[in-house]
Amino acid sequence: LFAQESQRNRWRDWTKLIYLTSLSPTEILSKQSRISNGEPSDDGMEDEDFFTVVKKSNKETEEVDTSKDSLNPEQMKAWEDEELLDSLRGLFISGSADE
Amino acid sequence: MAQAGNVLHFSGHLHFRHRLVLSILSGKAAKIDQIRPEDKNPGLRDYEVSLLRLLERITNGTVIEISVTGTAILLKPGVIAGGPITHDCPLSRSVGYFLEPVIMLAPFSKKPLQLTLRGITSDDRDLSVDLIRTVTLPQLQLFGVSDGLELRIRKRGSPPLGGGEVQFLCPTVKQLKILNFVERGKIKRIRGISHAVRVNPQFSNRMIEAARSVLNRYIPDIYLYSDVYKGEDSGKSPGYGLSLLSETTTGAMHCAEANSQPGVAPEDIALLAARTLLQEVQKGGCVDSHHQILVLLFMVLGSEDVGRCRMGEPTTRTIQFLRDLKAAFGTTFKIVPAEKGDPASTELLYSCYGVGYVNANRTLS
Repeated sequence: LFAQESQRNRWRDWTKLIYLTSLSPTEILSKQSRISNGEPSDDGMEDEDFFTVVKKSNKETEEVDTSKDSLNPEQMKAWEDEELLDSLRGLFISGSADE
Repeated sequence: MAQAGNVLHFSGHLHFRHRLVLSILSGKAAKIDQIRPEDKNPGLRDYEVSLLRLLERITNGTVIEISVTGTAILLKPGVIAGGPITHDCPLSRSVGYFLEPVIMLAPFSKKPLQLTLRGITSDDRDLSVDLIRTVTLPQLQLFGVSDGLELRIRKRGSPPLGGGEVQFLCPTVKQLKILNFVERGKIKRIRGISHAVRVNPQFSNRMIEAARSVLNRYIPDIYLYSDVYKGEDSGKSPGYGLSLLSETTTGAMHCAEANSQPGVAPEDIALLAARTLLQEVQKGGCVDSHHQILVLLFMVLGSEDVGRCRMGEPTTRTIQFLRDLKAAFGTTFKIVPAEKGDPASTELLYSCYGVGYVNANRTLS
């Protein structure tokens, strides 16, 4: 898992992605999530499939200029998991130092 | 001020607010086209027109041309004037939509801005007035904008009918301090504001209890305030919501909030807010994802020195903003992993050289 993560960090040169490519912001971030999901398999088919979905949804409901992402109760269910909750302890002053 | 060749050219209806801000600050005219050309109701929305009117009033000498179809605009910026202004926001967006761009401009006014906004005070799209007061304004203090900086929440207004009123007071500055914020620290306290208007006031306490059930495991220093507005001051529609923030030992803040939805219990709203806060905290950085663009903008405007800030990965808004910043000011950021030794860390270090933006409008007292 660590190897994969480090690969992911090395892969993404943010300065370059932002200033030297014409990828849309959504494309930059979706590319990243694909890699982080452990699916670096780069066959073009998958790419196309993914982006057509985005396009479709754009046409049906207008993309609105918002400053908050819409809340997703389903996604937040992940935070019912004790292990995930405990993984944050190190970020608090009361958390143990070894994290 | 705008000459030929000195025009920022943008397309699309997205990122409308920050593009207008960049135009006004840089003194370059902005041409925005392709505003919903394919839509069955093409062109600008009422809230965008309202924002243009508001910016027209905050500035002096700004010329705005809107094409017949409303799908293209040209803004020739004037100087930021400030002073006392009252503006009624349309009910299609909350006052947060209007405040966010105004906050980016206000420190550079000729006279201190005293802006009264009426409308919806919290919704799901933009930052609520509570978070703007408790989190956004402290970000300005990092850059030396502090004395007399205030947001007063006079009346609350829930969607759909609103009826809220806030007053934003902002001092002027000559120049921003350069930011050097790279130590995240550890979270030492969590604060929150729970509000309920025109519903059972117990809803507010129920939200506080539910949020505590998630957050109590981390630290004891949690204070969630139940903010009660009565009668006229509670607006025209029923609603409730919870906004939360965490603060670290170095003053880094992260925030999240959730507002009432039909058919959802107050407890579930509170859990949503608490978990969203945890997700935000997990992203790390000294500045949360909502405030990335404000901080990046002020880093560019800062004095001629290297500004540095640790933040999480950029959001889609931030990526576009960085590109638009380059178009307006020619500044690019260097973005590198903050923890080179820790491959699991997604935190990034953003650095740039400030342009040394000086508020030439400011009247000396």
